Order: sequence, then C-alpha cells, then structure tokens
Amino acid sequence: MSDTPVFEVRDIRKDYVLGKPGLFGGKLRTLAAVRDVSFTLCRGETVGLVGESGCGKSSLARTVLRLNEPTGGEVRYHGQNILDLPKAEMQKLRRHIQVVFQDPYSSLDPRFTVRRILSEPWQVFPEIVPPEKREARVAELLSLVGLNPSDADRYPHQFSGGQRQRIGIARALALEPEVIVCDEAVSALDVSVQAQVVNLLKDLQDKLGLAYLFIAHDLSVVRHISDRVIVMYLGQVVEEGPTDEVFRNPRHPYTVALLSAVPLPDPKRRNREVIVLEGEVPNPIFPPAGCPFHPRCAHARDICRSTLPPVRKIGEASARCHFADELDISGIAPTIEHES
Amino acid sequence: MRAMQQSETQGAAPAPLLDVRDLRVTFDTPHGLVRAVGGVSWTLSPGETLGIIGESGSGKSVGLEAIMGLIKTPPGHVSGQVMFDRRDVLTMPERDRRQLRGEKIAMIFQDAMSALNPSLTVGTQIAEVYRLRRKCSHADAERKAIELMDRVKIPSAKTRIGNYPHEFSGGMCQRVMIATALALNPQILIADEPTTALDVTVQRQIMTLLAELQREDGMALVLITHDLGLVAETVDRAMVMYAGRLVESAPVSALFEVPSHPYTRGLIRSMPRIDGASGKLHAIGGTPPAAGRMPKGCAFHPRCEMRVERCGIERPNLRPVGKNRAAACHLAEEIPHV
Ligand SMILES: Nc1ncnc2c1ncn2[C@@H]1O[C@H](COP(=O)(O)OP(=O)(O)OP(=O)(O)O)[C@@H](O)[C@H]1O
Ligand SMILES: Nc1ncnc2c1ncn2[C@@H]1O[C@H](COP(=O)(O)OP(=O)(O)O)[C@@H](O)[C@H]1O
Ligand code: SF4
Ligand code: SF4
Ligand SMILES: [Mg+2]
Ligand SMILES: [Mg+2]
Repeated sequence: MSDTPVFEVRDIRKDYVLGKPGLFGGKLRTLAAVRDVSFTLCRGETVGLVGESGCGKSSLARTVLRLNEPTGGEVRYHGQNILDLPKAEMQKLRRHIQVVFQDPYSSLDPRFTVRRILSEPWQVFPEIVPPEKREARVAELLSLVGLNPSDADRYPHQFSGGQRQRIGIARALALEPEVIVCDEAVSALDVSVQAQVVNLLKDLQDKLGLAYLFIAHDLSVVRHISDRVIVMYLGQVVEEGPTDEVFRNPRHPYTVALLSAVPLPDPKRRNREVIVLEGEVPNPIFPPAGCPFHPRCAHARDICRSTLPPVRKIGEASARCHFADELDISGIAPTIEHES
Repeated sequence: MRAMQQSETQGAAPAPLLDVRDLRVTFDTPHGLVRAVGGVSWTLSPGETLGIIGESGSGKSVGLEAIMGLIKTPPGHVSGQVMFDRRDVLTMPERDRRQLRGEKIAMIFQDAMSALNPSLTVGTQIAEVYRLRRKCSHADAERKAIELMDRVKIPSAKTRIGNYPHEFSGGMCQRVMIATALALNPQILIADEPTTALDVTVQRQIMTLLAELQREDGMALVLITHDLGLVAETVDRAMVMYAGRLVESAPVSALFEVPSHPYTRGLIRSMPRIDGASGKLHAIGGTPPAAGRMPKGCAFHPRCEMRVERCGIERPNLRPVGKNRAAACHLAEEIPHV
C-alpha cells in the first residue's frame, strides 16, 4: 500500500430538499443525509463504512460518485476536485471510479448477453481496449472473477446471485478503474458465496492495487475487508479509525452498541453481556439537538442534549463524543480475539 | 432422524409436539418438475427452539410453508406426514387446518411490511383474527390488540393502534406481525428470517423479545435463518439443509464444535467473524445445484473437499452419528474440527 491518496473526500454534504412548498406550513424541509464526511483512499486501501439503514451510506456513495449533486464539500481524484469538472470531463473521469451495487438482479440489463454487458463501456471509452482485442478481454475478465469464458454468451437470468455479483464486478473492472465503491455489494449473498466474492475483491486488490470504499451494514464483513472503518449515525461520522483499533477499542457509545448487537457464532458465549439499544434511529428530518445519539445513549448527560460534541482524536482514531476519552466502555464489545 | 427420535424417546424426553415424516414438496414448472424439498423428517419438542439453516433455495421456507398449508397446489405438490396432536396436518380437512393455523401454529415472515395489509390499521390487523376466532366484541378485540402491542413493546400502543403499516419502521412492523401471531396463544411459532431485513440493533431487540415471549408462554420456536451467529445465540438444536434435504441435525453447541457434515463445516468456516482476525475466508467452492439438476450420489459432492469415489455414486442417508445427532455423509465420523 503506497501513501499517495487516490481519492479524497473533504466535508462532503448532501441535503435532500423535500416536499412542495405549503406541505410543511409553506416551508421546504431539508433532510441532511450526509453531513461533513471526510475520508481518504490510498492505492490498495479499503475504507469500510457502517451504520444502520438510513444513516446516509448510499447517499454518501452516490454523492462522491456525482450520481447525486453534492450540497457542499470536495471530492478529489489524484488531487483534482471532480465536483468542479464540467459534465463532459466528468464523464471521461468516470472510468477510473466505478461502483458495484447490492442488487445483482436489477443492476444488469436482462436483455443483453454477458459479452454485451462487459463490452458496452468500451463503446464510450474505445481507447481502453481496441476492438480486435475485446473478445479476448471479455474472456480474461470472466476468468478474473472466477467465471467461465464460455459464460459470455449467457444472459443474466441464467446465473445465480453470486455469479451475477461477479458479473457486476467484472463490468466495473472492464474500465480498469482505480477506485471501486461497493455499496452493499455482498449483502444479498449467502455466506458461502459471499466468502467467494470477498476473497475475489481482496485478490483483485492485491493484483491491481484497487482502492475500495466498502459499504455494508454487516460489521463482520467490514471488519474482515477494511483497513480503516467509518461509523455513521444520522448522516454524521461518529467514529473513524484503523479497523482493528475501532473494533477492539471502540470509543463512541454507538459503535459499542452496534458491535455488541452482532450475534456471535459461538454458542459458548451466548450468555455474555450485551447492550440492547433501545428505540430506533430518529427521523432525520428532525435530528435531535446536541449529540444526535443522545436519546438512545446510556451515557448521555446534560451537555449531550445541548451541544454537538467535537471530534476528539485518540491516537489514530477519532470519535465524536463529549466523553470519548473518559468512558470505559470498550470491554463490552465482542472484539476479544476468539480463544478456544 | 427416525432412529434419532426413537433413541430420544427411550429416555424421559417428552413426546414431540410436531412430528414431520418424509415431507416432500415438488413444483410443476414450464422447465419440468422442481423438487424443492426431497423427503425430510424431524421433530419439535414443546418449548424447544429449533434453527434451520442452509443456502438460498435449499428448501427451508417451502418446507415450513407446506406444514402451514401455504403451498398452492397445483403447481405445488406436498406429500408425507406432519403429525400434530396425533393427527396428520396434511390430510385434515381445510376447516380444521385453518383452525390449527394461528390457534396452534403461527408463522411470521421476513418482510413484515409487505406481509401486512397496507390499507388496514395495525390495530385492526392484530385484533381481527382474535375477534373472529374468539367471537368477541370490537371493544374487547381492541383491548386485546392494545395488550398485545404492549407485550411486543410497541411504545404508546393506545395512540398507535390507529396507524397504518407504512407509518411504522421495519422493526415496528415485525413487532406488529409478532403481535398478530401471538393473538391466539399458539404452541408453535415459525419465524422465517424474521430479522434478515432489519439492522443488527433492531434484530437484537426482536430476538430478545421473542426469547422473552417464549419464556413466558412456553411456546416452541422454529427459526429459519442464514445467520449462523443468530443460530449460535438463539436455538437449542440446529438443522442444516442442502439442496432440499436435511444434511445435519445436532444440539447447537455440538454443531459448532464438531460438525458432522462437510457442508456445515464449510458454512462455519466461510463466515467472517466480528471477533476474529482477518485473512482469507474459507469459501466453499462452486454453487448449490440448480433445482432439477441434482448431482448423482451425494448432492454436495461436486463442492466437497472430502469426497471419495463412493460419494458420486451412493447417496448418503441421514443417520444417527452420536448423541442426539444425525448427519447425511458417508464420512460423518471423520469431519475435522472447525
Ligand atoms: N412456486 C414455486 N414454483 C417453482 N419452484 C419453487 C416455487 N417456490 C419455491 N421453489 C423452489 O423451491 C426451492 C426451495 O425454495 P425455498 O423458498 O424453500 O428456499 P429457501 O431455503 O427458503 O431459500 P432463501 O434462503 O432464499 O429464502 C428453490 O429451488 C425454489 O426456486
Ligand atoms: N432521493 C432522496 N430524496 C429524499 N430523501 C432521501 C433520498 N435518498 C435517501 N434519502 C433519505 O436520506 C437518508 C439516508 O439514506 P441512505 O443514504 O439511502 O441511507 P443508507 O444507505 O445508509 O441506508 C434517509 O433518511 C433516506 O430516507
Ligand atoms: S456525546 Fe453524550 S450522548 Fe453523545 S455519544 Fe457521547 S455520551 Fe452519548
Ligand atoms: S458424502 Fe461424501 S461428498 Fe457428501 S458430504 Fe460426505 S464426504 Fe462429502
Ligand atoms: Mg443503502
Ligand atoms: Mg426462504
């Protein structure tokens, strides 16, 4: 892993403006889906992004890909802010930053053969693979993702979910990107197939130096694949740091609760102490004042209800909690190395 | 399984509440006959929590739906026996069966939001079954609905009783479905991936609730899930399905320690762990067979690291392999630790 940042996201914001005027007493409501999120991806690096549904993971993904127009912030690719780029130039740049979505069923056009699906992007970027080499390149891509070159003539519906996800990855690779955003890319897969796809992503990273933004609600997969991890709550980063550090020694009460909720595949430890987080994520249109987590936080004090906590750096990690360096909470997370 | 159950009943073990014998489900499709469940036998004891795991398409849902009488026939075809209270559920008249459903055995599903009727208030949906079956007044039914909503911990039940499903979160919809299922005090609750669509924090709430309800009512629970963690934390006994058949059944602690089937072992080893180090996952190669294209011999043999010549020829039957355990593998006694 080298240290030149390939992809840098600075204070990115995404507000959705909701409803017609008049709906809420004449005022337009805004939903702050992503609030000042920053991270850096180096070559060969994976940043994991976790949080409950609705916390803004997909909004962040779509915004850094410019599939959503951002409300503020910067997204730099090799130092160049891609948010300033005119549409045409952005189109050219897109080949370097690809995306794999969750749903292997709906993200592939059912009318096209796999060959067509994989070579379609070269219509837009003919310089990547000259026409006479395309046939061979399709075969190569299929082998790379563990499919058979003869699969090129088949249609998406003739594949299993895991195989379709591989086709989605192959399509992303067709443009030889440097960055791949994986939004719940393995979430719909069975564990045995999920393991194949996760291993594939790691192999490709080792071989090609790809950088991943890996979004998933499954914390175990994220721990497995990520170098760094970001925990989001109501559009905001509440904790961030090297994966091992965050999982072994979480500082934010939300991270601890999230980790504690994950069931362990170890019947001997089923009676361990866990945190059952009460309630649900509040409506993001009306986020709580102060620390957005305070209505569900067991450690909340007066200051939490009025004042947004600053980001506190602790070693290489950081947490947005007033008491991040005081609370003694990490022991409860199920992160102790499994011993048996 | 048969043999296993006999050895169980020799002790003081209670008679099974549910006794499933050679259950088979097939579907007529334009591409030919699909064998979704290929002859499974198992029992459920009163108050027991039984987990069913296996890959997508392995026949988990179809098997339980067949027991509930939810398979449309045709194109479906169900055979075998399902004994409950000394009667065969599969052959009883539809009226009795409807009575049994809800009253004795209830089922909840993964996608609670779409399983509920979008045009009825949650209160009506919870109360209606109770009102019709217990022939009580609307007012009594509403009182019951509020009581049930309290039981499943829906906050401010009294005011939320008039809400529609779309005004509820996924987790709250699942609570509504559980309340509906509990209305008639069933002895068995079948939960088909009740938390798969929910966040882990909400999953933890729902599973805690189910355990509490079970403790209070002594209800047996059949939990279908993909999540091995959930199985490890929740169930007494687990059954593993592959390609429409049971390949292993064991007390959950034994299953995780020393599986008796290479597929079970493969599943456990392919799982990334929240408490473990990273490194390569031990993926099981290949994919499950397509329904209608079952391999000869052991259905798992094309993917099995341990296969021997015999595996491609002779289908292993489910057989007892130690205390309260059964497995369908020629080499069941030789499977290494996880
Ligand atoms: N109505 C139907 N017609 C034809 N085949 C069907 C029908 N319903 C189910 N099947 C097939 O029966 C098999 C078992 O399906 P089932 O729904 O029980 O799987 P499952 O184990 O519950 O999977 P999942 O984990 O994805 O829910 C599959 O091959 C499925 O395609
Ligand atoms: N196009 C949109 N218009 C309005 N609100 C949206 C839109 N997309 C997402 N949201 C809202 O933004 C928040 C974040 O959503 P999303 O990014 O999809 O979360 P996640 O991917 O973490 O589940 C949610 O409250 C969601 O309802
Ligand atoms: S700032 Fe207060 S409410 Fe927020 S996480 Fe920290 S202790 Fe809890
Ligand atoms: S019978 Fe043979 S192929 Fe089947 S699981 Fe056992 S060892 Fe593997
Ligand atoms: Mg999303
Ligand atoms: Mg199912």
